[in-house]
Amino acid sequence: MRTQKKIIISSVLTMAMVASTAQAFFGGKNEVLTAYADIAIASYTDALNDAKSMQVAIKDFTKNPTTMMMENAKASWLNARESYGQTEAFRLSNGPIDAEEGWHTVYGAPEGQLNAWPLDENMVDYTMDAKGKKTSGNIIDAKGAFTPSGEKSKTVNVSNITPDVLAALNENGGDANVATGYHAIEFLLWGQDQDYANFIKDGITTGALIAGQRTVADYTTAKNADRRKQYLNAASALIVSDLESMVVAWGKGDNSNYRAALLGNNTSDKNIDEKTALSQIFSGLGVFIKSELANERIAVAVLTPSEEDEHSCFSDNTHRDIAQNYQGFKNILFGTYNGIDYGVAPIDALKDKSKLMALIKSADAKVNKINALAQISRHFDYQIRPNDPQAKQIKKLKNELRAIGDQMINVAKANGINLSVGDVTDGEETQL
Amino acid sequence: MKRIIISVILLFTFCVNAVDKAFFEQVIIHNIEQSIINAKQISASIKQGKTKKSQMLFVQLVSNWKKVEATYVLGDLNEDFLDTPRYIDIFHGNNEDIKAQLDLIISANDDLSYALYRHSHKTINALEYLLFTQDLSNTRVRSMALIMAKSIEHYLRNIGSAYQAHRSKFVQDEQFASAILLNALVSSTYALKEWRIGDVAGLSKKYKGHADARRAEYAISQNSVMAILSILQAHKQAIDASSHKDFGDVARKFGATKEINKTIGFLNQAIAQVEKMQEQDLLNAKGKSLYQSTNWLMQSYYLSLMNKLGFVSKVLDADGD
Repeated sequence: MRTQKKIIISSVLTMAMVASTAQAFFGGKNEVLTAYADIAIASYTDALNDAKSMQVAIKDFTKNPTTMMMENAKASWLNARESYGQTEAFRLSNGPIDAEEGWHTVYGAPEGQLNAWPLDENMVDYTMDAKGKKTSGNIIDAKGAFTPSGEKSKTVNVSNITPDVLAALNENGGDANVATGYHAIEFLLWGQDQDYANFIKDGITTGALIAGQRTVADYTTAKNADRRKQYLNAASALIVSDLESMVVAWGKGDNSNYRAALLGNNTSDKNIDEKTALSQIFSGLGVFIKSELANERIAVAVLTPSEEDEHSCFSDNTHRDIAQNYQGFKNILFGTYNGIDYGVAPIDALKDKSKLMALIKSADAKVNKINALAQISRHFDYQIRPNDPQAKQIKKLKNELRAIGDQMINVAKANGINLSVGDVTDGEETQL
Repeated sequence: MKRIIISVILLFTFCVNAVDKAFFEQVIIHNIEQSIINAKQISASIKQGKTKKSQMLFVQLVSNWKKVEATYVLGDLNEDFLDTPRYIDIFHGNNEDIKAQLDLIISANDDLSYALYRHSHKTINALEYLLFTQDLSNTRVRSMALIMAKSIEHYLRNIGSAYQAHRSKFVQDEQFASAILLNALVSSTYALKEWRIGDVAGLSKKYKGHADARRAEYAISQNSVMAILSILQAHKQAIDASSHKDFGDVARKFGATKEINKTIGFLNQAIAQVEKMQEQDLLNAKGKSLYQSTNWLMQSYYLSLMNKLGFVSKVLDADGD
């Protein structure tokens, strides 16, 4: 599952950590970790607040399902993605968002529940299939028991769609069986955009600047309108509770939480060795920018090409996902967030920054171009078409982001940590 | 997905003379030019609806393309060409079920110019499926096969032109050329051992104990063993050629005689084994022996040769071994 990549801390890395000789930076490292933790709590607090606003907007829409209220709900989703997108750079670092083992899994490692993708939308609600027929047999139209497709899936009673029900359905029977998170809500607000027969044909919602076109009737007169409302409210409640757990994990003034452990202040004997913490952070940054953003979210989409492999394929908000994921990475690298300097940054120790900065400058321009075109000319799903000149630029961006990921080896080294190429690459990334 | 990640970093304090211009011309350029000729011939044959001839030419194309792929260094010369091979060949690089997709396209009426929009639909793998399972007398099938052959030729020509354009970068920067060539050979050997042999024979970590002939690279046309031989022959061109200064000569010049001889020994052993193999042998003791030989070849490349020549190899197997 793309959202649940295992962070592999290899024996190579472990040995490198032991062998590291950069003790001189000892004092500075704590400051790097402090800035990292401070950016984390600021980022997750913003994401939580925006998710709460989205929850309110969705509740208002489901109480009063008009076209205007639906647009408000969509706007709140788009706004929530802006802050959440930046938090994704904290993934893959054995932190509370997605740690697979360790005491801090008590925070629920909710990444897969928050942001799993790509999802099989047929499990959530109806779509128009490749033959132009409306699909059925989904959570919305189910009566009572529902069994997701896939091996070893478990039947869940979906008579009432609640957060617990959705959590039980999520990834039940397979990675694509996504029932929760931002993208489930996205599908329920926008609906299908892709023409499954051929995305170049674009026969479902025709147009380069046209996203999914679900009508408000799905929430008023259409069959199962009330179940869609239940679903939206349950899914948004889950997002809020998952982000609340992240704010608890990173909150200041708690000497028993993850932040305290990362900074060596945890009074419950859970402190994380400083070098281990830094190694995991630098490795995670590299894996995130190189394997997750560059490979899974950009390369797969543009090299296939495939609309279903763009990140926000219902709302056509992929350009913002890319921009905000990239921004989140830069926040940590430069020790800043929303224009505020949070202190010592990982890049500060790097003596020769020229190569990394050149790559960032070039990637900045390409990310901005994708955004600009998505607003005035054509969405990401048109920019990746084989004959679109942007496809070549997007491929270049992918290469640059992967090179930036490799540069994390140098950034780590400047901070006294030895990493290898393997440490900044997800060994299970999609082969292209 | 199990994957090996290799980076080769040159230690600039140790000067290594690279393979010479003749290698570039006689191996890199020669192989790509041959594959372009094959692709062009296939187009002509498909146009005439000649199934047997097209199948025969396909075998030649596979042979030459595998050689190009085994020594593919163009992505290191110009990153714009990093992804070009996947437009020609999606073996082990794509989770799509192209057979089902191609069947749908054959049975539909959509204009082929956008029906075949996926790059995977125009690869050598797609062409194999059409040439060896479909009827070329069917106009739509023939049109599809022609689009595939022309697309393959197009990307091969792109590679050929780019190699010509970057000739000086390869032949003038000897250290860089040595590094990227060795990197290509190591990567190629890993893919050969693990994907092309191990996955089929049930010897790879991913498929341990679960042999399956359908995982062979050219299972449809039964050309997988021939493809393996072509890959090994490309390695022979790179490290043990008599017509030009190759990587083996460089290795000996800088004191790695023992290491390169050992490497060549494993290579020759693997070639001798493959020459006696049929497709089905990938599943029996012969396949197991070949897996061992190619494993030794890979170890020899990246553990002994790289270090001896002053390269630092950083290898991480994602599964931890």
